[in-house]
Amino acid sequence: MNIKFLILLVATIMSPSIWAIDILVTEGKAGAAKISIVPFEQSAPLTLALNIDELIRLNLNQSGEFLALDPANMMSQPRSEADIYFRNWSLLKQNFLILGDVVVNSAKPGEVRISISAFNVDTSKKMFEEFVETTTDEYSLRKAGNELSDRIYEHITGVKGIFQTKIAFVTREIVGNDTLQKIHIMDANGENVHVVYQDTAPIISITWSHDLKYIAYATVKNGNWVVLSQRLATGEHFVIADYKNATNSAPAFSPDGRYIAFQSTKDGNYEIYIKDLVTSDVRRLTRNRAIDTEPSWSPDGKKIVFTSDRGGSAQVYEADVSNGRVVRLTFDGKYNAKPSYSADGRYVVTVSLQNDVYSIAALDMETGKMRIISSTEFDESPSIAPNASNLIYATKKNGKSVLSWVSMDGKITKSMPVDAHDIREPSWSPYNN
Amino acid sequence: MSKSLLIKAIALTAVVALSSCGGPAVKADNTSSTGNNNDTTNTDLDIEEVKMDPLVLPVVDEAAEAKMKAEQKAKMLMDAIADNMTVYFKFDQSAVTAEARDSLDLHAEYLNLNMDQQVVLEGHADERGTPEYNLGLSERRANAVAAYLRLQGVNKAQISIIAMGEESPADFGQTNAAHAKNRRVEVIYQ
Repeated sequence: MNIKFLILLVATIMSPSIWAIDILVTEGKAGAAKISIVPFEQSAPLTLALNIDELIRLNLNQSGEFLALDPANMMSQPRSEADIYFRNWSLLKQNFLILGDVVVNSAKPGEVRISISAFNVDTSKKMFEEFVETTTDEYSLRKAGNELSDRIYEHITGVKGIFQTKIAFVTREIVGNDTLQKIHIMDANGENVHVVYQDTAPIISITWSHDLKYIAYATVKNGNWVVLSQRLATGEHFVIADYKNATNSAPAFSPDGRYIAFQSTKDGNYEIYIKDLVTSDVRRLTRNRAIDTEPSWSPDGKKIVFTSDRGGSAQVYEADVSNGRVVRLTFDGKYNAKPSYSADGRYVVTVSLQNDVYSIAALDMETGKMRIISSTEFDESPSIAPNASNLIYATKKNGKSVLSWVSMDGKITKSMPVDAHDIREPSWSPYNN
Repeated sequence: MSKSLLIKAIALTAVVALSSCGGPAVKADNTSSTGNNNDTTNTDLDIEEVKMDPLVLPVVDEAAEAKMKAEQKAKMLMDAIADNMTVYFKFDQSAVTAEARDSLDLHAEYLNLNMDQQVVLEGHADERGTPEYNLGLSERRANAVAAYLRLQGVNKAQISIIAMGEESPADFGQTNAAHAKNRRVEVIYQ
């Protein structure tokens, strides 16, 4: 089975604020920007648990917006600005050049300072300098490398990077008569994968808290769908909704982390509720005989978009959190579901059934126009990175389960096989606010 | 629960149901098997019995016959039900189809005969569409089946439902045929 991932309309759909890659490609050059990250200088006695410059190259390559040069193909590896011969990098058709060094922090034993300088090859000028201080264990180095990747990405593209965000996904394995479901979390680049929960009961609706410290999901306990949250650092569980003889699902943390919206049938029908995580008060947001589910908060926390079939088919509606007033947002196609806002609040992205094909569509909240971003042969709803630069997808390739990262020009930038019967919809975290 | 387990569960339930009809369970079981299978050998015995005391017979037979009929009916129902443990739905629909109604009529009859019998209606959806909306759709299907059974006189207290969304497919394939098998409500006796 092949993924057929057709990007029908790409950069032109959305405002430059999210699709800023067009700006990057600035000086009229099409395709990915070429960047050289020279292997970092290291003060002599250091053995680091992780190669930082390699991690940055991997990150930038995977974004689909950069093409990082293999160090083996570099004509020279300058140690400082004075060593740079810009003509050499021009010959290699490079746009940007990054030098870096790792130095033991004399003020703080056990810590290192990683500094980078970036140069524009075309203008032969220094663009910016950055540094991070970190301990030398693998976890901290990985964090530092992802942070530096974000800074490089943002300086050059003008868009916030996603390398410090996380992705959660559920795998399903068949063990005898049972299926075993595992929740995995990993870095945005697919590295650093951990299993954080497993059960024979189904698990759906994985979602992240604003600070990436918690996930929440729906699972079945004693024949009842319940919503739980889990503190990732300790594995502790907290009950969000376990109303008896009711179906509880579809949690969504508010952007400030104080509230969680979810769906429950506790009053007899699929309605959306908001729980205050401080007071534990629960209030009902929707009132309708139809299915109301899949809530998702606007970036300012004032609105909730959700799926409802109150009009006869599943469509996207928006509720005002303060007064519960509801307006219908989508009218195109016979099925629009699982809406979520873009990080800047301008777009609502939805899974849309158009001409019998499931697509990802973006509704422009300013113009009210809906455009299809991608179409897929199968219903494997992708999760979109918070800066909308990438999607992640679960699919099957030659009978094997794989996760695929797809950049907005439709290229698969990474495919990662996962040892499981299948992978459920992955969930990309928000920015760590 | 697998289908074979379900059938076992029904068989067990049936034995209990039969035994509660009156008389010790073992006797009831024996009677039903001779009644069903040994028609020819029974003829001789009957003739002998007639010869011995024809006047007593009608009194004994009336009760036994009624019991046998009830048992036969229960068994026939059980056999019919075993082939109708799942009802299917159209894409994005939760209306009970005519075909499903035929299946559900058998369940209603059985449940009306066995008022202590509990049933779980487990709703399912195919994988197309989002998991959360499909959860709602599968619950609506289970509710539609529950409503139909209640219309046929089944006591509300006998019925419970659970929505499984697209999480427990009967067929893991991605063809239309697989999807059709997954849009279903399973009737599970407990």
